[in-house]
Amino acid sequence: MRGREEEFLEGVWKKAAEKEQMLRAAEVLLSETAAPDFAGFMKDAFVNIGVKQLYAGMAGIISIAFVITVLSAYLLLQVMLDKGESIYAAAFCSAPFLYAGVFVLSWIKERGSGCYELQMSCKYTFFHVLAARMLGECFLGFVFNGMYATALALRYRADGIRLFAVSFSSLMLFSLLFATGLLWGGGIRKALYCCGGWFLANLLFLLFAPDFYGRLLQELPVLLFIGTGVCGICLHMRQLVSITALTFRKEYTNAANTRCY
Amino acid sequence: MLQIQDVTKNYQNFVALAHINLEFENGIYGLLAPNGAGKTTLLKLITTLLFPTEGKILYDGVEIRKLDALYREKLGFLPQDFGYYREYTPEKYLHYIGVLKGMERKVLQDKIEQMLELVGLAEQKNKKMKKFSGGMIQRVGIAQALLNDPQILVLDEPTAGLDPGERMRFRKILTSLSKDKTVLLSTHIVSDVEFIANHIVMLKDKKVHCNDTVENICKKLEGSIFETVVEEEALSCWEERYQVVSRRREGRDIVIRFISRSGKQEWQPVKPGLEDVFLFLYGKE
Repeated sequence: MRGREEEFLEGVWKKAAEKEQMLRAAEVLLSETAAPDFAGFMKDAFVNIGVKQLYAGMAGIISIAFVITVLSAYLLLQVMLDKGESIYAAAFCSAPFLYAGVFVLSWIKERGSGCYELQMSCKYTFFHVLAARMLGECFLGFVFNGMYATALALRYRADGIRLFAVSFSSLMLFSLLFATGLLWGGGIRKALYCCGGWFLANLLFLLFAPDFYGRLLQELPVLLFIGTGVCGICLHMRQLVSITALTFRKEYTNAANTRCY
Repeated sequence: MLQIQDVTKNYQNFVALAHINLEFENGIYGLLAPNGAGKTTLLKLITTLLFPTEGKILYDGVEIRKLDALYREKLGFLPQDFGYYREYTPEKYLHYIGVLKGMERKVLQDKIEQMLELVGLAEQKNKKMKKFSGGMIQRVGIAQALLNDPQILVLDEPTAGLDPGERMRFRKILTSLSKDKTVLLSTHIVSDVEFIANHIVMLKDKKVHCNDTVENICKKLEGSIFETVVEEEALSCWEERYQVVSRRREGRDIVIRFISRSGKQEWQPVKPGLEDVFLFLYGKE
């Protein structure tokens, strides 16, 4: 009888030790895999989720944003040329239009669908989708700005490389500012304020210091614009990874749920 | 096993949940409470939609916020306000959610077919969801929650919008699934959980009021539920004096079922049900 009791107790201790060992192993494994990196983010976004799913049902939104961008860029160009501004200023101002347009329209669609809660309970949360789309919007903006710079360079016999560099740096500065607003504010509203702030600052420069604004874009070295854009990409990548991380999600969800219901 | 350890959740100065301690193993757990009692907040904490102000939630001994995506991979969730894309077909929608749940593409299509069959939407799989009725949308919601064969299934008011036949079918599905899963079912409809839940958790005043089997919970009211025949004119007096759970007409008289701490000879004692307990606890709320 005594032997059986001892055997039973030995079994219990063995199981407890095994469980403790498993918990330790889980902690180690988690500490190794918890820190998100850009490669992991890219794999999650473009391999595991995939472009097809990221942009499923977004053809309408992209088309509308594209049309709005083309019209706005054209109008801005006409107004600025009328006022004697340089086409570089027009390229700089209109560079983030497509990014902002696609983001705002897709955000409105997501809000309308009410899928946020469900997506937040999935392995790849709403923020994975959001960050991946933000990167995609950068790429879309990059392609569109390239085409726009080429068109302007051909039409107005301007420096195509400078035009491209100016719009590239503008797009990346805008993306940085937008993501900073999102990360610091813990909510989309702050990001939209940053977005509005960017356009307002440009408008104020154009209204009150047009000479300085034009000279700045025409005389600063092209490499400086390219360098700014490249630095912007690097920093923006880190921001996108942060958007998918737990710390941001926690801040965002707590900020979004401060009201009682 | 899912453990909730001394969890408190505040929304600024408002306490939504206070010092909640619960343990969930495989089986169906019914979370019963009236609207606004904190059921949804508790489920949102479990599904990582919210983070506790104090306390911890552990899955197999590890904090869920540390497990993060590894935990969410094991989760199936049907929110109270189930959102969907109106232009999507159920098949396309389930495919999207399946991808977000991290399911392998190879098994996803088969699983989608299986789920649509299970919820009776196989024939409507290519119709746009904007043409669906509330009950059909809810069935898509149930299908997506079950899609990744979750270890923890969290359902917030899952039978809302379902007709009685669909409810019955849904209960059968849950019962067959609960052998190797933890199913948390939040509702204020007692009949949804009375016959299928292994355990009932009741919330009151932001805290867990009771956490036991249906049988044990009902036992607490044994000897306190009675039936008697009253005249129609006297009904309002009875309602003022006692907590009347139900009433039914028998000829010119009315048979009432009510709660009383002590009985009388002319009153017929009856076996308490979960609905009686619910009304006893929350009747005045």
